[in-house]
Amino acid sequence: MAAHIAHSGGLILALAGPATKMRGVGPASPVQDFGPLWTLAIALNVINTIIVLYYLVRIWRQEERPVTDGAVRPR
Amino acid sequence: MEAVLRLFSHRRYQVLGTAWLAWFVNYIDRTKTAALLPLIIASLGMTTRETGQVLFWFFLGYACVQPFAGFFTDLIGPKKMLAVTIGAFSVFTWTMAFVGNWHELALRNLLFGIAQGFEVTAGSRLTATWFPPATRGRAFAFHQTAYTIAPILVPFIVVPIAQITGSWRWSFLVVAFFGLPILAAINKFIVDRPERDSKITRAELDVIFGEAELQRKHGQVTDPARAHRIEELPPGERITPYGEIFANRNVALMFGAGFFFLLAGWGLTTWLPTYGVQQLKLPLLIAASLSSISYLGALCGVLLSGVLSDVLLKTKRTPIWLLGGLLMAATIGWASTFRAGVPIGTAYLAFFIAGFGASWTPTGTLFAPYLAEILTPGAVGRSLGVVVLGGMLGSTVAQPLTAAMVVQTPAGPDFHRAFLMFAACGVLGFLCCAGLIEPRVRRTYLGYLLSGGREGTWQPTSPIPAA
Repeated sequence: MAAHIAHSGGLILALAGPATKMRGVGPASPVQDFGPLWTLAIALNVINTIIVLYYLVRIWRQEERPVTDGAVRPR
Repeated sequence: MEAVLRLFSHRRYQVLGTAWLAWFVNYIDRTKTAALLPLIIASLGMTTRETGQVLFWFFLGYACVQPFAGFFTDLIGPKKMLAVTIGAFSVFTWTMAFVGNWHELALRNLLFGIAQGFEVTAGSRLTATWFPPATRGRAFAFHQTAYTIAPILVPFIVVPIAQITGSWRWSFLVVAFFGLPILAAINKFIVDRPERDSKITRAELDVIFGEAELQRKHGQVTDPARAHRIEELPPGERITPYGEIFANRNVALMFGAGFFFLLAGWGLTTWLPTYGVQQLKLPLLIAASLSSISYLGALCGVLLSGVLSDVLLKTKRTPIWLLGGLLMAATIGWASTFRAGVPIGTAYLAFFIAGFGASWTPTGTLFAPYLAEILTPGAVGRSLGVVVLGGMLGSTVAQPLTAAMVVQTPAGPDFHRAFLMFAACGVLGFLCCAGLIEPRVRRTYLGYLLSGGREGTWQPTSPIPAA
């Protein structure tokens, strides 16, 4: 599998100059990259996951049945 | 504005709008990693081969789940399937921000591919079930605009976030939150079937199914392969045994068409910017915009396809695909002759038309209405799983095949042979579409034209419900 730039936005970045000098490139270690904002990043992800789980459980528990045995009331 | 509000007071448009948002987020997901790839490569110190592996695993995961995606969608219902897909999008997106090497990135891309593979069957089945045949083409065309708009917008969302915050990881953290309002919308607006929706009016049900269907069918067997009598089914469905879904020449031909058209489509749009720089010697931004022009063509194509199919062609679907295949083959064949110095207006025109033609294919537009009409809306998930599998296999082989077709010359890489391969795929896709039965004329559309407009004798195994 040959590597390629899979999107025009990626190409813009790739050809804009040496990647290591581009803004947006951080260290390979996420802890170092987030630096003092590490706790904030973790907190945001916990909040995100809790909201996702809330909706998934809520949607999963919904049962759909034909309304009034197939005969829908006029509105 | 008032007209739009009135439109969205109908339940079917609320369902369509939510399915559109889910499909839009799915495409943000697919393209955001690619758009940030140069930053990630530098950050994780990835080699060319490792980068290729990371991209390859997404397509592999996506392709592998297609046979199951359709079954799960039809079994547990499109609402739950959509919710799982969007939930997975949100969670996997933030985990992407915490990768430390290319192995972790490849694993997450595989999981992304698996999770995202379930979306297309769910969104398509909802549109097929909630809209009557007369407007199904336009509704599904609107649904499909999401896959053309998202790739245009993604670089302008994720790249600035990375550059403002100083790390690509924050782009993933921010984008992960895009899934939450969509989950809320799925919870509020989506119901698997119209007759199971407590908020729908009788008038809207009449529009969707027709009075006769509503009077006749009150059944609760939502799987048309399991029903034995027509009365067991809900309105809008007909008995469709497994044999009719899978041992079906039309589904097999759509599998073939999907393979050839997506091989050409993904091969072309992925490599266009590189081709622009290396072969046409275009400035960087102009070369990158060739891909955007192609997506703009696709956007115009899907919108027009719905109107043409529903209104001008009176709900016939296959003529659009026949035209699309020919248009795509002819335009890419023409573009294969382009060399450095070609006027930029000519290149823009060619790739706009190529994108337009590529959208008029059985993996670009109208596939859900067609499958609902050749089979039944309740079998769209399973049959579409087969079709998308063909398309994703084409997408998976597109990258190495295109790379193998690029010839190194003293003047630089030459894409001539790769473009001829894409054009040949357009012709092969057209031939697959030529063999498809057009249910409105009960024979292939070319057969209908060549016989002077005489309808054929094709019949589904069980009768089609009244429109």
